[in-house]
Amino acid sequence: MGNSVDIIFKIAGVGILVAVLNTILKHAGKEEQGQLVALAGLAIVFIWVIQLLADLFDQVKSVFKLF
Amino acid sequence: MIKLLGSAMVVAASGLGGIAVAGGYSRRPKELRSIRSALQMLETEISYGATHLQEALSLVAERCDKNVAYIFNRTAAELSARTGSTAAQAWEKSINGYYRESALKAQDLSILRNLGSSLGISDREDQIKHLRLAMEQIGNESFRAEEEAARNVKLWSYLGFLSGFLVVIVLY
Repeated sequence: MGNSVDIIFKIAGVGILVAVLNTILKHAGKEEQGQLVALAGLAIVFIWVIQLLADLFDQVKSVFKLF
Repeated sequence: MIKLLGSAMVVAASGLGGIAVAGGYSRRPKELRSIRSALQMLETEISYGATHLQEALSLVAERCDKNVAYIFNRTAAELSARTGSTAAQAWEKSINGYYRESALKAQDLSILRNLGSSLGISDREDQIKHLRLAMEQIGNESFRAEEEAARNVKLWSYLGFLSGFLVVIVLY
C-alpha cells in the first residue's frame, strides 16, 4: 500500500517539475525543447504506470486462476 | 540517510552546473564591453598620443578594466622582452591565453586575431581604421551577447536545479 502511494507522489512531482520546466523553456523561446521535456516526462511516468498495470494483470490472472 | 545525502548532492551539482553555464552567458557581454573600451583607449593613445605600441599597451593595461588588462599587459611584456617576436605574434599569444579563461566565443577571438595581424605594422591611419573596425564588430557581438544573456541566464539557472530535482524524483 505504501509503495503505491509513493508512486503517486513521484508522478505528481514529475508532473510539477515538467510543467515548470516547460513554462521556463517557452519563456526563453525554446518551444521545441519544452515539448521534448514534456514528452520525456510522459515516457518516464508511462514506464512506472505500465509496471503497475502489469502487476494488476498478474493479480487478476492469479485471482481467476488464468495461468 | 545516505539516500537523502546523495540526492542533495545531485541537486547541488546540477544546480551549480546550471549556474556556471548561466555565469558564462552573463560574463561574455561584460568582457566584450571592457575589451571595446580598452581598444578605444588604445586608439586614443595611437592617434593623439602617437605612443609606441609597447608603451601604449602598458598604459592601456593600467587604465582599463582589470579582467582584460591581462591581454595588454602580456603583449607589452612579450614585446619588451625583445624575444624577436612581432607585435602580431605577441598579441596572438596573449589573446589565446586570455581566451582560455574567458567566456568569449570563437568569433570574438577571430575578431581580435584579425586586429592583431594589423597591429604595429603600418601607419597611424591604417591602424586606427583596423581598430575602428574591430571595435565596431565587437560592439555588434556585445549587442548580440546581451540579447543572448537576457534570454539564457535565467533559463540555465532554473534548468540546472530543476533537472537535478527531476533526476532525484525519478531515481528515489
